[in-house]
Amino acid sequence: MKILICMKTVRFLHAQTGSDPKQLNIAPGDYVEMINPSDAAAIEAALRIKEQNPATEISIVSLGGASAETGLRRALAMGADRVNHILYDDCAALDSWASAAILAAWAQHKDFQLILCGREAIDSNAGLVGPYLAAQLAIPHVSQIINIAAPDSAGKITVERRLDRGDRETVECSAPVLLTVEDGINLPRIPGLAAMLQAGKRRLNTLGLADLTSAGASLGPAANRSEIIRLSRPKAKRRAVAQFNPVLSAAERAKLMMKGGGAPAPRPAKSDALLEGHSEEVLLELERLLQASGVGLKSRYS
Amino acid sequence: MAGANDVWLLLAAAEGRLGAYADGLMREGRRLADALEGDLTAILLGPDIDRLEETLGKFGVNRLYHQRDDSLADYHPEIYTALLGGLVQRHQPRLFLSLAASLGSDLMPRLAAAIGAPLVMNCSNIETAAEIEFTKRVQSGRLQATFTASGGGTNLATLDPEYLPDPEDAKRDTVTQRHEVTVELATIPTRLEITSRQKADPKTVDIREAEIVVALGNGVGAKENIAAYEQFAELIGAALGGSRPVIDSGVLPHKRQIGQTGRSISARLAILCGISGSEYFTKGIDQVATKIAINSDRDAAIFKHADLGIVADVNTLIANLTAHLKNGAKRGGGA
Amino acid sequence: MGDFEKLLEPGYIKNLKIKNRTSMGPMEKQWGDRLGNVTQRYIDYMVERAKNDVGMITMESTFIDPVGRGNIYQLGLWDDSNIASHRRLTDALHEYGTIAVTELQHAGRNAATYKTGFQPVAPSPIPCAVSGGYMPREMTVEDIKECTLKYAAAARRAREAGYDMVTLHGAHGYILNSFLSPFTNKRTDEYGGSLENRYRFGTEIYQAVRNELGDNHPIGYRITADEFVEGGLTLEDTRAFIKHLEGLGLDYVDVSSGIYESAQMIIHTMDFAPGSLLPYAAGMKEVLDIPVIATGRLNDMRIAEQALERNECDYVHMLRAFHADPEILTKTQKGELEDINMCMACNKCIDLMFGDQRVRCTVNPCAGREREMALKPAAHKKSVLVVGGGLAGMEVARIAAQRGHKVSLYEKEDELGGAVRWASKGQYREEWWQAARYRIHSVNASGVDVHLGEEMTLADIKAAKPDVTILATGTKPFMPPYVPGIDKPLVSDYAKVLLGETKIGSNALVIGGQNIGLTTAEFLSEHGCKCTVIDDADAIGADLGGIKQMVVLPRIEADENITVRLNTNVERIGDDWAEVQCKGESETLEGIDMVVFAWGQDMVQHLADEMAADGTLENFRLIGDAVWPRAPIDVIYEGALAGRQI
Repeated sequence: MKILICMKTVRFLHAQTGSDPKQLNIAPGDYVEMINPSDAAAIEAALRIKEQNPATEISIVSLGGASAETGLRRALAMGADRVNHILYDDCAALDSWASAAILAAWAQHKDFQLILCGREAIDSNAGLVGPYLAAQLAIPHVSQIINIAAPDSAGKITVERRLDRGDRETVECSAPVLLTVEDGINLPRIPGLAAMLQAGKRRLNTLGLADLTSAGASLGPAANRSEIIRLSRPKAKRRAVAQFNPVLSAAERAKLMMKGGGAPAPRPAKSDALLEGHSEEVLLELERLLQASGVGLKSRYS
Repeated sequence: MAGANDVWLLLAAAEGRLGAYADGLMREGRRLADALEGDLTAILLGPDIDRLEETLGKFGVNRLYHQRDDSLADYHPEIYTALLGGLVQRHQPRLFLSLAASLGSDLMPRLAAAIGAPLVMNCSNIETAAEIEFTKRVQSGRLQATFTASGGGTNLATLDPEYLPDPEDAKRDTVTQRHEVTVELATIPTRLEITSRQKADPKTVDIREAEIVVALGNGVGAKENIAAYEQFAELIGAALGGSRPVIDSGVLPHKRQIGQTGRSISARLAILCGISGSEYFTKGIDQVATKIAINSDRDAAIFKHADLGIVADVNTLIANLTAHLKNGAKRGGGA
Repeated sequence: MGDFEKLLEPGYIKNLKIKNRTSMGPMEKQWGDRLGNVTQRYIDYMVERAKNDVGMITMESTFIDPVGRGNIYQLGLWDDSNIASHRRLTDALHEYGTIAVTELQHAGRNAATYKTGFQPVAPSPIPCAVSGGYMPREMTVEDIKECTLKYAAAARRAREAGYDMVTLHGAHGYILNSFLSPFTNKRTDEYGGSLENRYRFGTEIYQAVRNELGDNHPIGYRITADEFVEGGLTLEDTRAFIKHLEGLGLDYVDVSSGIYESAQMIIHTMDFAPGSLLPYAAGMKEVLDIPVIATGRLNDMRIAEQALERNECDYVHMLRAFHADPEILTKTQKGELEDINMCMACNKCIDLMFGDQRVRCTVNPCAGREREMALKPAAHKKSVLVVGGGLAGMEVARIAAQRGHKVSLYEKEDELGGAVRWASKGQYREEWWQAARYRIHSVNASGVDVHLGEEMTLADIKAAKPDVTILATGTKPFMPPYVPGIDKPLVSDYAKVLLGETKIGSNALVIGGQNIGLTTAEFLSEHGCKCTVIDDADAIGADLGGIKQMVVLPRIEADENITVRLNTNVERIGDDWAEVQCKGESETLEGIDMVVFAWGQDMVQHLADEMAADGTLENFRLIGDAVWPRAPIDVIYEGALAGRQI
């Protein structure tokens, strides 16, 4: 089976040590370049499939400037079979759709049965390249993957995905399919020194956009659907701030603050009347409400 | 009539009620619709909800599209994408919004790709200047970026619930018009098959995400009483949480604290045991759908927040209720 | 610990690295000397906090000019002779990697002549009643220029004394604040009237200090975000001003609120929700790029973390929190939250400060006595029997046990806590329980052998034959036997009411209008019972302390269920009536279903008397409220001392 992992070398702001607030306190040394953590989890997941099924071939593709090379060599050292570098220096000018278009142009007709992407890049936090790539390749996509069972002989792949509230869901699909993988589902292996040295000597398959032009598609920023117009400091999460209301008198503002920062006033009692005691009647009423809220009794199923 | 300046919302429902943060989403949708001078439309897929139009009207929702089909209660990505993609393409609203929860995060990219529309995920704010500006956190929260979308068609966005306005009473009196949608679902091709769903283990689930919570307050008394609540919680599949005094006394870990200094829960049902109802605590239960309060003090403030209040000794009541439910289960589902 | 990621992240102000986001904020201690020098007591105290990892420490407001001195034993940088002692302090802080910040202040119209010896100066001659009502002299333009020079000179001294950053105290009605505010600035020259003119004084001071310190030295501004007086500054005004200073290179802002006329909004009591000022910090941050330091009832690292996580501020000033427990940050890091001696905002520290006394702490008797109160292991291990599990009893038990003694603690009730059990009832008083909660945890963690529900008699004690007996038997409600009808069924007392042992009626007479009486009345009102509070004094709440009075008394007045009658006594009590007397006039109150005595506390001393008379066990001692009912600060201190004396 051929597995492709789309890997991004992120430029992650790990600290803000600059002295100029107008530059958002960013100093040049505040960025680190690293393999995106959920992409690393995707590589690890693929390597584990290969451990069970040695006939697997693992390819990596990374779109980025010269710095993407370090990450690709690390992926080689981890155990990837082939690595491909689509060299493009101005990735910051590409949005998720345009990035996915370039990857799709490269990946199509290459017969990957399984494509893995990370959940989202920790620098842009968009989480869109994976689903867009699946759409552009017209293959199914399953998101929020926490577990991948190795495909069976019929090419059927069973995955487990994370839902809200800690729930999980099992999904079956057949190859080809694209999966977006959560980070933290495994501990990506740390390559040994020998493997790193060896990977350093390997030749990477480096190509440019010109090598990809297919069917007249205009690759690059022209395909963008959105653009960043400014960066700023994150704003506070919302709280009701009624006390800023200039219509209120000073005494009213003070009173609001004392009550806890303009918290919503307690709603009037919703219940018509309070029940009292622990009679059968009270228990039945409780049971009714529990049931109405969809409470299932564990002992009934066990 | 539907217009090019309209704002559409995708609502989610669970157990016959609107899901958590629906009110914040509608409030935000209404604000944007006002700014764009358009109408607000809500979409709900799956079983109907009691007095839905009445609720939506209070939030200023002008129109409701609903497909009443039990099979839509559980989200299937391909069916939802096909169904909603058709609706959105037909009506061409200016904005289509959903919460940045599991469903929205999975669905919206599919929808964006299907209809060829721009999408910004996890927005903390949307403003309507000359263009619509979408702001979201980037660099894992260190910065925020503001986006504009190219082209004038429908823009998609998911909203980060933590940035939605705080709940307050909705006061509008819009008349919500209902339109039933009847898309033949069987004709939608699917390549994914959802074979099972597993519920989270309430003992380990993050208290913020737990569906059912049993919250303990000072009225529960000594540490030795906790075992009975653990048993009760296990029986009804609930996660245990506590108010600050209970956490401070070391009975439950800090991760299980509910309230201003702890976590905000968004459970479907919370059973509040021996909690007095100080504002420090009640700030953490704003998003809970149904609240049952049990306290021996008839005047306890917690009753003001409760859907059902019971004046009783909480230890006795919980013991009796546990026995009652167990018997009911043995009786073979009298409950 | 992952839970406190934001709090523990280093931050940068200008080029200065601050190792985490906590800051011990400025809090006046009255521990300086008469000249404004730092004392050894102060250094010991600050080192104790610095040792425990606090990121930066802002020293208390420090006067730049004797005319603008705010307190008798306040720190000052008004003369070059002050530099040496401040240098000792900053050297000590730097040894632990803690950033030292000074806050330069001129009290302006808030200065009191009896403290300074001078007539106060201010933008306009409007006296401040709260600080004594001394009529200030309107400053001439020459005065203003001179003040600017004094600020610059003090900033130079701050740098020479080793302070890493300088905050200009522009809050709380002090001189910078009073020039900015239309409430206190009625000038008609270029320093008053228009917005630009009101900005002028603050801008000139800022620029003078900036010129003195240069571009690389961080300078901040402490602002009152909202004055909470009619016609005063609101958030819109103050953030516009800070935005203006930001344009001139200001490095950070420290957001407080209130002026002396609204002093309850400066230092929040337990009646405020924790993190009460955060919405204002967030409001400030909304328009600014520079770091924002938040303050206001941040007594809990969990709230601080949440505020940082929500981007409401960049740093958290925790003043009283570090005062109450120097190890709050290290304990939080280790996850030992239950071991934190939490500030409950009783405001005793502030009341002492305003009363010209040296600041102490209710829950932490060691604050300001770090050297004297350091725990030393006992030379001879003794068996210690403590009777009474209130604050004094628990304090003595835990201290004695920590020193290595074998301690048993007997409490006749089923839970520890003593008077706090009832004193913490009611929605604005719950925080009192923190004082008991920490001690209960500490007593158990220190290995004290705790017996609940066991009332000790002389015979029991003699049988146990302890080396040392400590009697901390506390108080019971005082029930005057000479009031006819005191044995009627409708008569109750504050403890029974607050502990829920009495059925609450619909119309109560509460006898006693001091703290206990008001606590009882508010509790009854909360439970829907109307009450008439009588007191023979001519004021209620006299024992509350200044700031608490500003919060509680208006609340009582606004409470529709509560009626107060002063100079009034109870004469006799009937089945559903009571006769009261005011200045010789009697009146019968009809339709009463509860009479609650909240007159005072009666010392429980019988066990001590019996032991003295018996004479078998010589080494015994009576401590706490049982000696004489006092404020918790004195009772805990007494327990702490007794524990060290065994």
